[in-house]
Amino acid sequence: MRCKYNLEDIIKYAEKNLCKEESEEIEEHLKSCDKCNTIYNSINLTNHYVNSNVNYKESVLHSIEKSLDKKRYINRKKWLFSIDRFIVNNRKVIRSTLTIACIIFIMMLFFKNTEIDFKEVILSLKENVNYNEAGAGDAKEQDIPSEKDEEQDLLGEEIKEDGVDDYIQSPDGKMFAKVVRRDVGIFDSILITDKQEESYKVVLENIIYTGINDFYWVNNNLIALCGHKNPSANIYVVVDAYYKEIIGEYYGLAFTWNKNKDKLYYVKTSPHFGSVSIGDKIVDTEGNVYYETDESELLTSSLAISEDELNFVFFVRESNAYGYKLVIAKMGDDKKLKKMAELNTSYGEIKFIDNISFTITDIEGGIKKYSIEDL
Amino acid sequence: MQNDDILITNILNGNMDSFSTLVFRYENRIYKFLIKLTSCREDAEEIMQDVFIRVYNYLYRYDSKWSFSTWIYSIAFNSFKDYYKKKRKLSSKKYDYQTGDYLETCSYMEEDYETKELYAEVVKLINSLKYDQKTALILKHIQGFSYNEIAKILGVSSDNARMKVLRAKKAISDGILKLKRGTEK
Repeated sequence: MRCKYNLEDIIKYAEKNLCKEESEEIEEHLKSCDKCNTIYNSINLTNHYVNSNVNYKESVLHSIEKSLDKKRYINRKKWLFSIDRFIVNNRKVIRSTLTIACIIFIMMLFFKNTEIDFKEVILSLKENVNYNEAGAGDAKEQDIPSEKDEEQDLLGEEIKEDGVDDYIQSPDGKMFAKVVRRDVGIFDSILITDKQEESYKVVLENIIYTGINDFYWVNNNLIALCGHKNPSANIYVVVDAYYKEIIGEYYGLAFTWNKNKDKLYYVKTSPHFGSVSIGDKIVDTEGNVYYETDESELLTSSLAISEDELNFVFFVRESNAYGYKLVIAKMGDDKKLKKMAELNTSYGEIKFIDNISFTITDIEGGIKKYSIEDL
Repeated sequence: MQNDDILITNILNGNMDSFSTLVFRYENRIYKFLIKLTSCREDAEEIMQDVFIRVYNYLYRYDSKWSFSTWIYSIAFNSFKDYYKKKRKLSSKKYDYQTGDYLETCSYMEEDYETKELYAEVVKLINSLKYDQKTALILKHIQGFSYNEIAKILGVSSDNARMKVLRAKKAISDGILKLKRGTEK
């Protein structure tokens, strides 16, 4: 027969924690149940052992007397004990507070580092893409594809694909600019952020629709943006980042800044009326017209100007033929270009080495060097 | 008779006589507790010296919202643990059984050989308990500590303290039952 009492019942009985009736029941049960009786005996003996007295003959005081600093509570300042006691008694609260403080500190460090990383990303982007030509002093031929331009185009693609990491830093590092997309294919503003992290928007609405070929800092204040108004009209927009305004919108080709970046030359193409061509012009942003083609020839996007702004080299195309001609022209006192020489050569990118010599890199990568004096 | 709080205040004011009174008041109880824990006179005496030195040195930390006896037993328990950690006698589970040179019998056992044998087995089983179960068991019976007080001394919850005492008793009674079954076969 299964016993109805468990260990706890026997313990309660042994420790006299049951009422009279229950005690009598168990007492009766113990007479007949060997197992419960054994448990009862072992509990009793356990209690007896634990409670049994032990003789302790000599006071511990004699053996510890030498180890005690009897003046401990006389000599020492009580406030030191109070501080120690406060720390010990409140150690849980202090530990929790310190833990929270540590977590907050680590989080602050983490977010600070994130900010640094963000800036590092921008800097590395700048180094990789090398958007800004201002420091290098190179004349820039915008429309002739070069390795550098290809990189810029790649970034241009990035701008179109992703509006997050397309910040470009000014040469002096004081400002950042990025193109903000309003909708698919429409770039509606340039966001300029200065060192104080204040941001301004320069609205581009209705200026560029179909894409951005180029976006870079001309110098520490000017941002250039090259794109298409529509598939047949190239537009070059100059934004003054300091005054946060658009200072010029130019239609044409071959936008080329002078050394000081205060004058922009470009090819102003004329509208075509059916098969009739009126002629293209090399102009600057101040309204000067330096060269004008007759209706038999067209200017191209390949134009280079010497550092002293006296020698101009550019390609022209005959309107009725497919061939290109290289034209070398000199700036006259009347601010008009005088054709000095014409050369039949492969079309390519023109780059001045110094004021009188230049190279042409053709489409296949071949480089030819020319000196104006020889021509 | 001065109560503990007055004695403590006096000690903290540099009165060594009050400390002597406090030692006389608690040394027998602490010794009993320690000898049950260690089953060895030398160890119990050595730990007891450490207990009272600690009591004297850290008395300013005593918080009167605790009862002093709970506080001194918690110091005794910590001294016991530290002592065995130092001597590497305290394993994670059990520590060595020692025969105990103080083993006593009571009058009703004197004529009963079987009970004497059973008592020796019970003591063996108590000494082979996990040290926290054994401590809980001893604390429960030495001063009639409540489970709340045992919990404070051991640094566990009250339910946990109750379970430790119950498991200790179960382990002892199971051990005795097993022994009996083995003898019968």
